[in-house]
Amino acid sequence: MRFFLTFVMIVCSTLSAEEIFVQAKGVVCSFCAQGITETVKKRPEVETVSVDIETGDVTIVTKKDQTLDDETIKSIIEDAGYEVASISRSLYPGLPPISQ
Amino acid sequence: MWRYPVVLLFLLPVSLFSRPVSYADSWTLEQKNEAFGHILSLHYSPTSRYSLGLYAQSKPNLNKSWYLLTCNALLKRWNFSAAQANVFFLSGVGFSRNNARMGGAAGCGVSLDYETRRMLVSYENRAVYAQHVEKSVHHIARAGFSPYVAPFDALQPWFLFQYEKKRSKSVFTPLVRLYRNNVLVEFGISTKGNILLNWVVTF
Repeated sequence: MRFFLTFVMIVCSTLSAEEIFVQAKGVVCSFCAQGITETVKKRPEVETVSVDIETGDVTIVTKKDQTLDDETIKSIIEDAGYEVASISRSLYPGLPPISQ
Repeated sequence: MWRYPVVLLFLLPVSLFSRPVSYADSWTLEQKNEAFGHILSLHYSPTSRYSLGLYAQSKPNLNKSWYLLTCNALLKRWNFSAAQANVFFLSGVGFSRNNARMGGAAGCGVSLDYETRRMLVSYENRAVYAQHVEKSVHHIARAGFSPYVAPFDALQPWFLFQYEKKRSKSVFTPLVRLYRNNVLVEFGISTKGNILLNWVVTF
């Protein structure tokens, strides 16, 4: 049983998209949200991106089998003019993230 | 693709103004109509640190105007968890027109702002020398608040108070700002009866 669950998790993690939760500093208005959204969307690894103006949370879902490392995410957000406070991830979109 | 905004820029019988710098690889088209004249600007931000653009400003009667190639820079930004503060440097060189008389023109200024999701304060000045037309320093201070924070695709209203001073003339204007997606619209009426109508589109 344990072997089966481990196998399922490994398969899921290799086939599924990654959901990345970024806490961005400096997000105060819809222009900020637009700037981050448009900058992140240019990355070929990104499937969707959304910005919560009220919290500064940026949620990035990558395409299947694709990921973005922390340094790349920091670079993208800084290119948009903002800063990263924290990054967490979930290999299973919809489930709680794993803090790093 | 960007031919149409440029055509629009020169067709409008007013002049241009700019939100100084936007995010990387973006365009900003902005128009401002206020007590001291009309401004229209179009600029491109190659990075989030500076922008290059076209700027036109005219006096209220439209007979006197100046046109600048602008270079604006974000000198410093402070990003906080729920706030942002900026220092911009504004500059431009070009030409002026007073009916049939032409001349040189140049301008520079500084823009400072501090904004949270519900409150903002800002100050901007623009020193302008436009031969045969204008020699002045224009000061603009603003403060205001929003009653709530709206999602990106919903309308967020702001209530602002603007104080302007140029030479000995001062104008106080209460105004409403509406934000939605990539569009910002402002309208107000000054205590002297001047109508303020501004809009900004970033794309």
